[in-house]
Amino acid sequence: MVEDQKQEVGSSATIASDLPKGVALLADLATNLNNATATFDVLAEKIKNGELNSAKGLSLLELKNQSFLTYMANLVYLTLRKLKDRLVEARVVLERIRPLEDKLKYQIDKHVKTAADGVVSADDTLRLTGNLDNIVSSSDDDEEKEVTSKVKKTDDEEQKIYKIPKITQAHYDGEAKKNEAKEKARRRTLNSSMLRDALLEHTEDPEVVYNNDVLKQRAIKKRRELEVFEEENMIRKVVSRRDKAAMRQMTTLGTMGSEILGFNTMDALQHDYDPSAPAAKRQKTGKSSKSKGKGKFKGKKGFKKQKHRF
Amino acid sequence: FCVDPKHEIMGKESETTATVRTRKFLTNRLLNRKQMVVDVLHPDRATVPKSEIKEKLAKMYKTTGDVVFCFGFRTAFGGGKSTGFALIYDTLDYAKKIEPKYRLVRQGLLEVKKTARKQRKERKNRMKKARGTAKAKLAAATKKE
Repeated sequence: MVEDQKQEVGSSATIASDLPKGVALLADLATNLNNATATFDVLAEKIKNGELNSAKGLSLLELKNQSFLTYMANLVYLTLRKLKDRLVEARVVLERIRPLEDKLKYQIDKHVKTAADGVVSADDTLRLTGNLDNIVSSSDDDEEKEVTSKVKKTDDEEQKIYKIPKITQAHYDGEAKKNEAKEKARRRTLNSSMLRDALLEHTEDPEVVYNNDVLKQRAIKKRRELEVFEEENMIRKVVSRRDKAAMRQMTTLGTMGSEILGFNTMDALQHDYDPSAPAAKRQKTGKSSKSKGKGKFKGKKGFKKQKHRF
Repeated sequence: FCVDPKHEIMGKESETTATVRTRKFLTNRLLNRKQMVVDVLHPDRATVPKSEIKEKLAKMYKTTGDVVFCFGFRTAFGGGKSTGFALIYDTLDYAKKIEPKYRLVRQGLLEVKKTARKQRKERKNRMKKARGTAKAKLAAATKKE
């Protein structure tokens, strides 16, 4: 509606501007027509009288005459139609309809398809609208009562038990850690120098002596890192006293000794080893059993008894 | 055990030459200088003094000695080799602008005047006695005595 009004306003404006021109043109048209008719009458008379016989004349000019006549006739016809049958109006209406049709194309197609098929298609999305009846109003009394009673019960119970307030989720990796510790301890004992030496007796491989002192390697690596940093940035880094001492210490041969002298127990290799539990006390052997006599304290029982004493 | 008379070691043997080698050479266009890591090989000798290294580097890079600044020399364990850094500026002006003050002082291009420590402390204690505008007056009076 607004569009139409706008169109009217626009057209009235153009009309206002074109009106004087149109009137002038019409006047012109009238005069021209009069002149034309006058000459035409004269010509028609001449033709009737047979003065103008073009049978012996130039055929090209005859053709020109004929085509002119047909052209004029058709032009007159067209003008008549335009004035009579609202051709322009129809054209404008069609042009307006076109964009609307474009916008509604999808729906039109859907409906046309439904009409053509005769049955509503299975996956017709136009049917997927909400069911307004199913929306429950919030002022439904019966249901509320039930819900509130339930809530009250649990509240009382909860107030008695103290629950830790949950601020953030805490990561619990107890199980994994335990296994990790166990694995680590196991690996440590297996790779200890004591066990390695013990195993050397039983292997037939040739003995290989590596020069990889782990502690020394670490120190060397650290030193190299420091060197690279200093040369890269042209600055001498201040090394703390402790680090300096550590660096100095690593270069000495005394560091090897700690590895050799370290005693490891075989507990880590047992199946039920628990790294977090306190280490089992060492059981005394040899001396005590001897002093007590022969048969009495044999086997496991004997050892257990010794434990009580000490 | 007898000492060979031909090889008498007399006091300071500073006549054995030291070899100066540079590594990681980089031309720093932003600071108008050349920077490098300097390796000095000096067997049978104590650590070479910076002035000597400076002269050697100046000769190597065909500049005067006053635009060469070397620092950070550390001798490796056991002696014989030391490593440090050196910067060679394009001009003395740039050097004066860019180098930190302490290095300029070492080179002798800058003089830092400093009142004696005792004097400074005494002045501070005197200032403690005054308050407000009186303090400012006292400060001006006792400045640079």
